[in-house]
Amino acid sequence: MEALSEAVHDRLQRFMDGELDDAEHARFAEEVAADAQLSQALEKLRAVRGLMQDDVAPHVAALDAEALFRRIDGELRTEVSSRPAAAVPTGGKVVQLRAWRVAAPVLAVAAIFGLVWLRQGDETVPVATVDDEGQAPAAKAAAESEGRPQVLEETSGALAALSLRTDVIKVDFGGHSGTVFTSGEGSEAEVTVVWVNEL
Amino acid sequence: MSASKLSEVRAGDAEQDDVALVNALKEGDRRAFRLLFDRYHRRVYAVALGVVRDPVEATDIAQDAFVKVHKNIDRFEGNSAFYTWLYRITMNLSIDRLRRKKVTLLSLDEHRTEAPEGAHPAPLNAALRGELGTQLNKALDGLPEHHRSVFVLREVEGLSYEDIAETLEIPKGTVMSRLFHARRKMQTALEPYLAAKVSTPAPQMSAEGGL
Repeated sequence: MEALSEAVHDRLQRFMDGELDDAEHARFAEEVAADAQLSQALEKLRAVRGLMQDDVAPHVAALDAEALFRRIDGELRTEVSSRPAAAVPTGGKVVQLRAWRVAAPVLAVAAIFGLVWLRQGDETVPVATVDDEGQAPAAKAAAESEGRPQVLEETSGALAALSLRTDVIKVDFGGHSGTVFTSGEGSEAEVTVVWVNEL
Repeated sequence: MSASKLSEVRAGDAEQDDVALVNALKEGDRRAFRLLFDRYHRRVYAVALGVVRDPVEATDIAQDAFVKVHKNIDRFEGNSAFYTWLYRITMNLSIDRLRRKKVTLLSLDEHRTEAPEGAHPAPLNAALRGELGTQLNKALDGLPEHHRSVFVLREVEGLSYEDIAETLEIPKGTVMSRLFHARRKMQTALEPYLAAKVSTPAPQMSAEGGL
């Protein structure tokens, strides 16, 4: 008996699988009915399918669906309860991240403004105004009581030689203290001296 | 989803119902998940069993497949049928297991004693069945993974060529080619047993196959 060609075998398989169109299916059914070799080949194909189905079917019938669902449900519940909030793959994570993206810069800007404002508040403390003769009694007394160098008098004297009006300002900044002398008449002639002392 | 809508799902068109259930599940409806499980767990288990040939492994795969469905349902866009997506997940998990194991597959017959009495619809002679089971495992083991997956989806699940192509994301022509070669190999490997099978009255089967 001559073996079936691949083309015939292919057609036979599509016939068995119901993949031929109606007209072709009907034509081929007649061929199979009239040809013992085709008929036997078809039976063998069906037998392989039958073996597979017979092998699997009893196990499928015996499957405990409730037990399987309990396992699935248990695993899902365990995962939900043990999952960190940030790792939940939902829209919530996105919203959370967006909120931080807005809040972080706002907080940072607010903190910078707060620091600047606080520093400005402490920055300048007017101590005394030295007159044309270079006298600054309050500043001199403060320097003496704190044991700082007595530079105020000399500097003030030098400024006095210029016969200019001088403002003296005590400054505390970044762990240091200093004295700012500003002298002059209007905007035309100004001299500024900064003397920084260790606290 | 309301209770009345869920009861409609039980009675309506399968594919449309799947869409409704998937949408409900995306909204967090646990009953929808249970209905999808009820509808598909035996098929998922059968496909997994057809590939890995071990009931315990197949149960694990079915569990993993439904957990994956639940976790990734938001990624399912509905461009294909839900069941082809589910079969794809199942097949990928099954092939992964096969690759990891790389051991001789157990005969299904060793586990048959655990099945309840009368579970087999048309029991063959026990000795013949045991030998057949072993030979069937050997024959399947001789198939490349890509042939085995097509063969199982067609012969165990009865999927159409188009559904198999969609499930495995391959062209329909490739499905036909792989199925053709897989069947030829299976026939060759099982030839001595097929003669006996053919000579006995064949069980009633639909043209589309499937359980």
